[in-house]
Amino acid sequence: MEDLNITLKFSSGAELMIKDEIRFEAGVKTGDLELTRTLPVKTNDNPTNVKVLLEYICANLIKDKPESFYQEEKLRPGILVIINGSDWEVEDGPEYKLQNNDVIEFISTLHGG
Amino acid sequence: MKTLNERYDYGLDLFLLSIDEGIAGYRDDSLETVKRNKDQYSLPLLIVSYEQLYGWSMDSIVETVGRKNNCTFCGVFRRQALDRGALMLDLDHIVTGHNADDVAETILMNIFRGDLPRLGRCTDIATAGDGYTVRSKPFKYAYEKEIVMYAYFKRLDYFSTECTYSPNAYRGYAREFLKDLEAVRPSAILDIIHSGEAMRVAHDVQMPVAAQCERCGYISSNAVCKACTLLEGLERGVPKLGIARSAKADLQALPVVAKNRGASVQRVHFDKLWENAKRMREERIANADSWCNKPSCVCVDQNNTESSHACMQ
Repeated sequence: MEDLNITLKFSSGAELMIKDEIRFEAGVKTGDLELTRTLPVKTNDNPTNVKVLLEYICANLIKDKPESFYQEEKLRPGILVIINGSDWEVEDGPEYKLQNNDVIEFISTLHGG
Repeated sequence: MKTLNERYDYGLDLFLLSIDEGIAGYRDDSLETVKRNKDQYSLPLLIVSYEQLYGWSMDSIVETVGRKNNCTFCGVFRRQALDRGALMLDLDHIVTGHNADDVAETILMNIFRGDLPRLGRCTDIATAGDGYTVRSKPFKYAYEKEIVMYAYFKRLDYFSTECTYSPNAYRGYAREFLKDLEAVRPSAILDIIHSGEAMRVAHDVQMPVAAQCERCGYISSNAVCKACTLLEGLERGVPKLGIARSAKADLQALPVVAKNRGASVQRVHFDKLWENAKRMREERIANADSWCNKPSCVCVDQNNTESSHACMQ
């Protein structure tokens, strides 16, 4: 059973949702944030897909209100997900099965002004 | 615009016009970005600030009135600031970046508040504004998501800090609702715009008539335009003037000669701005050497039949 190394990127406001200590750890105070995390590969009938990743992020990385990121099994509308340079809607969306060294980016459009 | 202008040879002179509302931590970021854009796209940039035009920055306004209704001040001032800036530059046309999400949110907001005059105007893709500078929104049908994805793939430099005062904005409610609708049925945004465009005001409804503000000359549906009303309220210490109905009574209760509280500046009257702009426009036409009488040409027919100038080639 292998572990998956996933690179996560947060930009355009999404980085502000991440816990402060994680941002400082990454050496970033403001601006785009890049992290790598390792997730275990699950068995075939319960694969590690983006949905699992979202739950992981919600539980471990988001500060204050987790529902501002992920609510009722859905990603907050207005946050775009890019998997290896493609819109996740072109891939399988939340069902996309993660592969080793995938790059998942989160771009927020939820800001006023 | 820049790309299209060059690719299709529109022959436009493009400028960047930016408004500095004086919001620390928000507008400073975006102004830095605009300055970079100026170099990236090689376009001249003019920045006008509320401080310079009205004597009040948004931060000082919020200090005076509190954290509610801030968008009212900012929006009213920005609209006038853009028109003032356009006249200073002698522009023919202002293009704003409003996208489909913005227009749909505005339609929803106007329905929620029952603002009929605005509802009738907000779906126009181009408006005559004050009659001098036309204003349009070419992204009216482009989803915000499409624009963000385009910027992502083209690696365009843009800012995305949230306005410090936006969490209290009414638009936030419309936005949340719209985003939830989009998640269920993505065509909802365009559908709302379509519905908004299809709405017609019954002809026996009395609509406000465009007139001129008696103080600054700006276009207004009342004797005194909203900007002047808000500024008067700020200066005279009745900050809810123009926002709450009761405020008018408070103003009347003040002694006739009230001491100015704020550091207001003498606002330039619009008649003067129009005069200057007209003069610049006449000079521009007189000096241009590429006028012809081809009906399809963008330049103005001026009885110039010389074949040596640019658009004849």
